[in-house]
Amino acid sequence: MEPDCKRRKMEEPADPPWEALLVLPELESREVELTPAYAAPVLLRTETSRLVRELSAARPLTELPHLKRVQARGGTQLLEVLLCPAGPSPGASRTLAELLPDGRVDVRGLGEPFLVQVPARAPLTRPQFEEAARHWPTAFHENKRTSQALAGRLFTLQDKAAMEARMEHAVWAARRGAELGMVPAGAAVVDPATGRVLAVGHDCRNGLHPLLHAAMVCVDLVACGQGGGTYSYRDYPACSFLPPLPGDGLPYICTGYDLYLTREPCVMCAMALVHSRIQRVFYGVSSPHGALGTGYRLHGRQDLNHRYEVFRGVLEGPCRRLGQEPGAR
Amino acid sequence: MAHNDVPIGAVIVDAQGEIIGCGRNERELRGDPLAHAEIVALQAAATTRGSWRFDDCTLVVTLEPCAMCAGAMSQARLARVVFGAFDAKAGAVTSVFDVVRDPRLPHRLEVVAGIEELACVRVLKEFFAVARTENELPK
Repeated sequence: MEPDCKRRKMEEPADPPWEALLVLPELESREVELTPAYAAPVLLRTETSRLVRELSAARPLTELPHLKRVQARGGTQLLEVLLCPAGPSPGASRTLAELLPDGRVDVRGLGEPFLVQVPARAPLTRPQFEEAARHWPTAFHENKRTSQALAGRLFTLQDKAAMEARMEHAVWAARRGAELGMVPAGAAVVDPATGRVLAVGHDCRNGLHPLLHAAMVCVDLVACGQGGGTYSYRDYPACSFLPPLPGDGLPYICTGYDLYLTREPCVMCAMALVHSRIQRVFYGVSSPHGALGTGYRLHGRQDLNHRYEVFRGVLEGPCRRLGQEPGAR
Repeated sequence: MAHNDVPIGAVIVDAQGEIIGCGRNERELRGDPLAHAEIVALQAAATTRGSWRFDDCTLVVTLEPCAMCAGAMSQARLARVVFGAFDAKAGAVTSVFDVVRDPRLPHRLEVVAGIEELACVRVLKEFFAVARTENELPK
């Protein structure tokens, strides 16, 4: 007899296991920016520590404090020492006398200076650090949590089972919406402290209002649960909220809550989530005009007044298939 | 304002110059963090028209829209946005970023910035001056 799992496979293709992948904010995901600087080979190794001491006193790297002073060229024994930044438009080759004119550094043991491209900023993540170190050795204060998240090791199997169950609410809502002719996108708001699912909603833009994407619906439903909100969802029984428990101190809208979305939200929804003070967003699949990783990364901008964490890939298979199910648009 | 909402107003005007929807910021009044003036005006205009497409319309608002409202205007396919005061902290039509003229997005709007800027700024300044006096702690 065929094993059970094999038979299931014949009926419905099994999804590969999903991973919740951290979506980094803009600063932490951008490419390493380089700036020109002057360096020189150390011809007499015994002079190295004196040169470093004198250079650090006479030419402190105040604008580039993350850079190490010395590097071993390409893993060889040959040492090179950083002299000073070269400014935005460095001239042609300069001599040691031109670069270190005031006599505070004894240039004994130094070779001819040369231009080198060095990282302009301290790396924030391990990928940035590894890229930066290819250009010049750089200090790196690793955020352990970020590194764990990037390696997909932040969540335990138990965490993932809970996340999957919560995303299933969003998938369920998306299907109910699609049955009513809506875009198949769903969302669920959860209080991670209690595990309560506080609001479940689906895209309603073809019925009530053009702006009622699933994330906007869910924020409004949470507001409804707190005695506010704008819309009535009488015609959409799958859109629902739980009233707060008696004695619960109400947070401001979504403070401390998690949102599960079947697909990456657009700019409007991503900013609505800033306004709602959500804590974390988990979405299933990216979308072409998404604003949490695809086009913009609205969740981690220092210039906005709230930031939240974003993970993608939760229950990716079923979320992806929502757009392909019969009747979907 | 009696309900303590920051005074921001928006209207949507069609090609004939008729106002088809207007709104004011009602976040406090409604207990809805998304009830910005632009969203309220778009809701009203959608009711007037029975449609969500505003290809021939202009949205006029006293303060530069945030990214949510800029995204909403793009969703509603508005032709043009006119605003008065710039919002250096959250403006998404010039100041912090420019959502409505981003070539990566499927719809773009014409932008007219800084119309009656001083008058728009004055309304906000007066509101915050009063709010600050009322909230002032005893010395």
